[in-house]
Amino acid sequence: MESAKNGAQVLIEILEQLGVEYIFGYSGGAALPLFDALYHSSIKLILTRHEQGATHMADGYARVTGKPGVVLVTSGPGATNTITGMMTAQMDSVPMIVLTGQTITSLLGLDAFQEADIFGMTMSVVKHNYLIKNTADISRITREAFHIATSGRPGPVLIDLPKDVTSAPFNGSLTDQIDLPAFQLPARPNPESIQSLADLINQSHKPILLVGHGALLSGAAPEVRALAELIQAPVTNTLLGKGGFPETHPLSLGMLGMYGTVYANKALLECDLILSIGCRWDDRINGNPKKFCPQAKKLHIDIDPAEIGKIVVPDAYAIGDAKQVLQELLPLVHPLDTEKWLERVQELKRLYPLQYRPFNGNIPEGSASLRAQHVIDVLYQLTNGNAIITTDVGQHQMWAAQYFKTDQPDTWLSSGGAGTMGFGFPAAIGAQLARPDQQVIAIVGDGGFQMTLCELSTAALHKLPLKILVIDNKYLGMVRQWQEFFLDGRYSGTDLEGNPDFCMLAQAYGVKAFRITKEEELEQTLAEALAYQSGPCLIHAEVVKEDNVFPMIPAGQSIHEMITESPTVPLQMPEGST
Amino acid sequence: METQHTFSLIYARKPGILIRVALVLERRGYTIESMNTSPYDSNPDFWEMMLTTEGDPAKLEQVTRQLAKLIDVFAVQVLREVYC
Repeated sequence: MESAKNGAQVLIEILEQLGVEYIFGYSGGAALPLFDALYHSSIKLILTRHEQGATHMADGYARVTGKPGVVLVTSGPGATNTITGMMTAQMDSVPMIVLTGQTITSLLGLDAFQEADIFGMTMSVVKHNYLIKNTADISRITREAFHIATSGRPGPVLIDLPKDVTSAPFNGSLTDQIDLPAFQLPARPNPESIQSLADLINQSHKPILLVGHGALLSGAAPEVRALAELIQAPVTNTLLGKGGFPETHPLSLGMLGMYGTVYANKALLECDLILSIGCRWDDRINGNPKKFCPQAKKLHIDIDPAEIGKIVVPDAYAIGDAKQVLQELLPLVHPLDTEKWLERVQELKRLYPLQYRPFNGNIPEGSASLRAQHVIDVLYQLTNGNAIITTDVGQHQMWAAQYFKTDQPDTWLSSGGAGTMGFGFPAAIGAQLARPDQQVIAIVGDGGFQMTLCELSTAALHKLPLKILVIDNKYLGMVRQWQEFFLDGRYSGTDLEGNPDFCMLAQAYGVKAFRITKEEELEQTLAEALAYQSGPCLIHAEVVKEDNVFPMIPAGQSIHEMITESPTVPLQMPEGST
Repeated sequence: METQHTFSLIYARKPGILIRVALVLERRGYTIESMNTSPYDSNPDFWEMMLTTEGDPAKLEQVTRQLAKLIDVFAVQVLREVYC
């Protein structure tokens, strides 16, 4: 049937049908028909200042809503600029649709202007991708892309759209359904595998629950809590598992792993069973998989069969959606006698509390007079923890994870697997658009913020009341910390001396700015910034240059090698990953 | 020690499938020695790929699961494992 609409108009119409509210994008020649089709659409276009920013905004939007974030960019460099954002989403299982313009089909492979083989280039950073060569396929492929991005373990899907395909009249069927004969959704969890989890849990005296991002993605927080309270097991969480179980709950051990709490990591050494709920045992968690909790039975719940046995060979496992598995597991387990175990865990908490020392006026000679941990701690107190937090990667991220406790699901947005600098601020823009009534705070480092700070324009334009807390130590702090410990203090390529005055920078974009340099200013200035609602505001916190994140387990080492204070002699460079 | 493995993949013949399969193998150190594709007799929706590879047997299960995870792959079977 001949349609009056062209391919681009049909595509946008399908996006409207699929409930897309926002498109984060940046225009260009090959994407002209798509942007033209958006002109009269109900979908709101958020014009960013860089394509990477668009992907992280879509990511932030997706992490708080569970709906795929949609990105629209042009061909060539516009498309390649989205690669970091897709890889970030892929590593953290975030649903995302990336639409890229492309040169016309007759020029494909001829090195045309702004031609990039984005289909070939992105295969290893997406869940799936497409290059549409026929306008008639637009309806089917768009529906397939959404289905793939959101089902099972979520992830990004890219659709490359040549300009002649989007401008040609659409002569296909708008109601074309998906055609994915080989794609299989996760089956119902096998009841026998759930019984095998229950059998081991029922024999345990010292269990620990390990909550990962999968628990949040499946909305399993209520079931995690029900299980923990039923069997009286302490609960630890990964960086991305923050919010899967309230970190202020008496059974919570907070975050485990490389920069996790001492008590979570020590409890792992003593437990007799560890049940991972949607955590993939990555190298930040296990240190060295050969030495990871040899004494404990390891149980694994994951929706992705490829995660079972990838790092840790489990004693029992169930493949399926975490919420569904837990719902079926709950009637099969009974309350355990863990009284002594919980006493021991409490003792560990007393012996090795998570703490930092504020200066309280005793400022070392020549030092800045503010510690980053103190800033984050006060922010936590002032907000009562009631905020959506986004971060970049590095020291500030770990301090935020440690001192800004997360109680609610989908309020902690951080680039975990990819460790993407520049993620936090644009992700906060996406989160604030999705949750206009909630307090959204980007806690970023001076390094990461400078990678995507051009989005100050975007935030200012839409008057988004988000807060940007720049923890400025004028270093790539985490890398510097490693150089201090393992490379005799040779600070090669980590000194960011010459940073701009972030307050003046914000003001240049019309963004309100606050500066904190002293402990005495901390509470009042943060309170003022939090009260500011007329648009975005930036808080520039100038903190101690050389400060370290503790505790720390050097990469590739076991929990026994945990460092809790600055070493006095140089340590050997760890062999594990970075 | 490297081992020779023969895989049978039942797959939907969609764009990019050869590259996707090759990427999974290459990333995990498996080299492709031979590859043969043909229509799959039992179901017209699918094709069959016979792949002979050489790689670390310790990674065989992970490689198999990652191949099976590809959107256009329906099933993966390891037909033969030969130590070389």
